Amino acid sequence: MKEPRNTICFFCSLGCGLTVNRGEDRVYYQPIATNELEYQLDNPINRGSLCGKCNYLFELLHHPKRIPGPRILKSSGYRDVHWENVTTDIIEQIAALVEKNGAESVGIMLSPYLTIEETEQAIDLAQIIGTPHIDYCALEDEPILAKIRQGAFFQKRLPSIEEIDGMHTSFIVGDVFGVSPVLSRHFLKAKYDQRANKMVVLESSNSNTGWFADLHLRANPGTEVMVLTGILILLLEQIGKQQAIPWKAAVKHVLDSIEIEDICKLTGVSLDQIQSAAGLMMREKPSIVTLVSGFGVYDRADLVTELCQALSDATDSYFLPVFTGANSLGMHEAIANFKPAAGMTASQMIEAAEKGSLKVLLNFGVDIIRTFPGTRATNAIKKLDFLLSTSIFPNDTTGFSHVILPAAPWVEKTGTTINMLGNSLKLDAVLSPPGHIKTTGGILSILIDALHQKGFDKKQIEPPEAAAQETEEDIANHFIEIKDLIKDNSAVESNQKMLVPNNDFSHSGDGAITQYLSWSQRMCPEPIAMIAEGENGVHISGMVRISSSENKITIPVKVSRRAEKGMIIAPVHFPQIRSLLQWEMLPQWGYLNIKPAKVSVEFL
Amino acid sequence: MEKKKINKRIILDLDLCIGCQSCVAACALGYHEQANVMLGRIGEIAILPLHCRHCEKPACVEACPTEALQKDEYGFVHRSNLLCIGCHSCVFACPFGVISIDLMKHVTAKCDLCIDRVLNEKIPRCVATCTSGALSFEEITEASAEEVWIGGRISSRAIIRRM
Repeated sequence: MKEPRNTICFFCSLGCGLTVNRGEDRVYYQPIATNELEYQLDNPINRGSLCGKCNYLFELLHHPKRIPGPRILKSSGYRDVHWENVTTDIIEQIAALVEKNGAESVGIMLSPYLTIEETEQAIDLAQIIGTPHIDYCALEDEPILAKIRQGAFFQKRLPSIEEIDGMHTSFIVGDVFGVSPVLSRHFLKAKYDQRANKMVVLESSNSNTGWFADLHLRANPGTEVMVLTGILILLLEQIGKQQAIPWKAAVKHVLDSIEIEDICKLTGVSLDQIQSAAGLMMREKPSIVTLVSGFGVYDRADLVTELCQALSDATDSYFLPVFTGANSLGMHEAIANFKPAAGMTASQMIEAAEKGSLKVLLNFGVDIIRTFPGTRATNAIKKLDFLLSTSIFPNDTTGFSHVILPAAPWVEKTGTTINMLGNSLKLDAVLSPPGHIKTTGGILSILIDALHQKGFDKKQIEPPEAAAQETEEDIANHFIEIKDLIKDNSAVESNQKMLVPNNDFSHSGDGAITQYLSWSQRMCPEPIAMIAEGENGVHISGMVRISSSENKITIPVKVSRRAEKGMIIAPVHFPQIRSLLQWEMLPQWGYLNIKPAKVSVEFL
Repeated sequence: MEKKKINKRIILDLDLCIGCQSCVAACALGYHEQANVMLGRIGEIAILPLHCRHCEKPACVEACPTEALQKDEYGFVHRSNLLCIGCHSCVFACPFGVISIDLMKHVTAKCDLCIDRVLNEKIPRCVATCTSGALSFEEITEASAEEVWIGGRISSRAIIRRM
């Protein structure tokens, strides 16, 4: 007898509905025979659509590479142990290290694919240990979320995803079809059903989203901030006569001092295109501004977010941020409400581990080495006295962990999540975790209980001060920053190219899981860079050595129409590509600014 | 139970396909790793999911030496796994290039319009999963789709359209 269970997909932040007609689990790897996927044709978010990755979710059950049980590092290597033994061991080590170095030397890092309930439990764990250092690790979503929480602009939230179908202008920043393919259903419905609809896309890698655009602003990589500033300048000039915008007076003198010709020169977008984009946003209502988070796509994602919000505020458009982490929004809210000012962000924890002030890291589901650009994370976690990692599959980070605990993926857990629209959705366990595997929530409650028994009590951690909302003066300061960016922008030298990261349909979203699906492995088994035809005399595929200031790698290259002169496109979910990206720490926010890298390319 | 001819076919809207390959994934999963939908890419510009048209007078059925391919009572062309000898005659015979060669299994994969689902009044897997709404499952009649004739003998209805 098959029992239908509804749940939502957790690979991206959209939250598509799906049903599993669940049969009896078997002990061998034959998931299709016992369970059957059913499409929810009446679900308002996805109307039954699922992306390729989600179709393959049954492979997660009894996947041959899954971590089957707890493992502990002994002098002879990793040894499989029972839950009771591993818990005692973990608690003893944590207690000893807390006593030696203080509770402040403990950090807790969470994957953005945990539920709200699991996040609350992790916050409890932080309170019991007495550390303020707890954060989720979604480097591409963090700057956007921080800005959305603090920003001074009015945000018109989209009431439902189907509202997109009736838009007359869709202004999209980034590759939305790559990150969330199911959103294409709504954007394309608007494009073809609403005769007046125009799709304006600002993105440099010439993805499928760009191909469908009516107006494609192909800015040079990393210059999105400048294009958006250009559009805002023209827009404010036109709007000024009709309606009052509260923050306009504060920014006017800064914007007046920016030359639009400089913007055109630096971004490679013509004045005509900027004018048409501003005109469309001005005239064709209702409209929506969509900002898609991307790893290493934008230089200063926080300013890009601020400008997108300003654009939507000035034109009375809806604002839709598309996150990569499925529950980034919910986790950001939960953690921001708890974390005192002294609490470090994920990037700061890695920095502290590098310096040696963070000794213990409890890592719930993050592949730290794969997530951070460059090689800094590897050096940082090697210095830790104790690293606990929970993971579904073995990865680079578990290889350096002192204790590895097996975690269950989203199909096997129940909880609540908040999607990109801010709606809370319910995750339901459609399959049960095999063997000794537990959900992250289960692991957290075991640890919390054991710490209680050891004599640890919940300590009151000073609550955070109410987040200061930004004022008009702050906005003006940010525009001065933008002006400086335009002034100091150093051009790419002739022998250099820009490395543009792109998303692959089969891998976008939770890379820690999708890399193990046979579907994703078949679709994109190895990183292949794309380069324009005729560049450096290349006409057919071959090998290429790419070096940036961070790293040097050798990968195959193919000639593609997607790439333009001076650009090399590569899929960002591969750690090799991530290791090339350039980053800098933004001290005022505590997160990394990961930007497209300047690379030199040598053909072999 | 009386078997009634089903005139519904998969219709492809060329303007909507974003090339996400979810149709291929859904098909491959339902058919034990053999996808019956293929994705043609034309010069990195156009993307064309290729799926069986279930012709009125199918060339693949005539080319098959072992009667593995048959047009059934519902009007669908389907293949019997046990009779297929993997000679690839149907692959060469199909004028629309929708039958793929799967050398591993030594037999050829063939779309049966997810007959297990269609008989239970559900739509085929590739149509249900399509992210952009490019594929739809609709009744086709003489009025709604024109006939395609190739070589004066094979006829199928045109099942690709543009907005």
